[in-house]
Amino acid sequence: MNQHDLPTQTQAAARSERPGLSKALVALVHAAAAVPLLVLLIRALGNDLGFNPIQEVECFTGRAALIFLLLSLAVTPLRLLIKQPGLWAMRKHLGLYAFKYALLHLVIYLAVDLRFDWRAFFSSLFSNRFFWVGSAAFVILLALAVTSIPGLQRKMGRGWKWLHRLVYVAALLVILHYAWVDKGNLLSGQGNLVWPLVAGVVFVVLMVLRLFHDHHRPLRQNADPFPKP
Amino acid sequence: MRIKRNPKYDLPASEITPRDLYASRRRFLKQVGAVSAGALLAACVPALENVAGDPTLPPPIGEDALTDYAAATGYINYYEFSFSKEGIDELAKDFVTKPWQVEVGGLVGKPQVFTIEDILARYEQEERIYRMRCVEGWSMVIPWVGFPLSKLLADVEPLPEAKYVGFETVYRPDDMPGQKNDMFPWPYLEGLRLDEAMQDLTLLATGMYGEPLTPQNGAPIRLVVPWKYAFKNIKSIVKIRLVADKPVTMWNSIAPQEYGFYANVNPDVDHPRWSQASERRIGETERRSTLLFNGYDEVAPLYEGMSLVSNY
Repeated sequence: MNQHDLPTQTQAAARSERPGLSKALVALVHAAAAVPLLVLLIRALGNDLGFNPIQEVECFTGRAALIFLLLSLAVTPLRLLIKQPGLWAMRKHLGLYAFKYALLHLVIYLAVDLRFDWRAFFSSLFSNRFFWVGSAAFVILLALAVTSIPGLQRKMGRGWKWLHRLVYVAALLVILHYAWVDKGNLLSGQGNLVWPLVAGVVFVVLMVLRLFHDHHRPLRQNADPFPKP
Repeated sequence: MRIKRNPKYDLPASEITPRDLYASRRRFLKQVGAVSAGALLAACVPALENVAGDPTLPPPIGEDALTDYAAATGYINYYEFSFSKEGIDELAKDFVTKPWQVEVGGLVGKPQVFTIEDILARYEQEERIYRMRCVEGWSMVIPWVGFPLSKLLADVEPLPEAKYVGFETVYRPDDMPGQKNDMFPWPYLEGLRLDEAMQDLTLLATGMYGEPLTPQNGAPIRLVVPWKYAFKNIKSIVKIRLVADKPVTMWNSIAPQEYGFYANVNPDVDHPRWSQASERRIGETERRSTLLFNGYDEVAPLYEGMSLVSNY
């Protein structure tokens, strides 16, 4: 990441040249975030959640959280293609929706699946790597969501930036959690690993694209958001 | 198909009433009052006697009821067709299971190739209602139709050196799209120790719910070992071999720390990634406790003196 990620600049950028576009992009994020929830509601009302509905809802909300997390990580690389400061406003909301779907995922597991059987919850947490990896990712997302309050961002300064770099760790943990849901072997690459591998490849591509991100360009672009072609 | 009922293997009669029947019975009990309900029901609903031994008693809450046919034929792990547990019925509906041969050989005195017709004619088919527990944490109760594997093994006369039995699923990648996936060492292989294979509970199933097996359930013949995780229940078998050494089994070869050769249902031995202490019975919302050997305590002597933790 770079200086451009400093919150004050981000907000300045978002407020800057084309507030209308920025607002429209954020509205797009809100609309997109409603889609999985709507699909889930329609399927639930239509009795279309399959033979193991609780597990289906758990998997569905988990996948939604992962997708929003990857989308939030796609914002910076996207700036390579679309040089729009308004994109920054999307990032925070995409990240927050990743957290909200992860929260829903956890609440359904705890309340509907385990029916608040805390003993089962904690014994799983400590004995099963699948659970502690997922829980660790959730704790990170929780910390990022809490510290996304604007006032706090400014107060924390550089600490905030460092903390929010943990989002990469969270993404890796979530992908590992996803890969460990199904029967397979990550080391030998055998088994049912197709979708976790797709998620992993998307994550790596997004990380590599970041390397091409010119750390100094964004500042100049803020000054001139409509460069002549 | 001729089917013999073998009451010895039924779950207790009160446990197997189909859900809709006992639900309506409960409603009826509420209406007429519990005191006279028994006598009234016995007179009013004679059809129930076919299903449960004692129609006068409602099954205790939390006991076993038959899984809905739709779920048992619609929610299946059969990676040869798809990773998804749902939709296999559609993918497998044109899977041809006739003609079919099962080759039984290896360390035996009389190796033989059976056609499925031979098998159905030679071995009396009986119904057995078994719990089935998937390693993924869900379970069902299924009325299988089949015969003890021990009968077939006796007919091929295992040699004294034979210590294990290996099973192989048909390999037809053109008909089973999942077998084109190189991330699996197809064909599916499974195995049992010979004494496990000879246990009377161990079934070669050819049907369920009084009908021949559907393609998605492993037609025309599959293994059912009710005290083990269901991935041991290899489907669409074409080869059975008696061998001296522990045979290679597919999931064990993919992830040996996670899927043991024995794979006995055991609530105290967790899968490395998730707990095995409880399970969700398909059709129920609340989890239930998983039972050691899936409740089939009679198999415990097979493992006497053996650690169930290291031999998971």
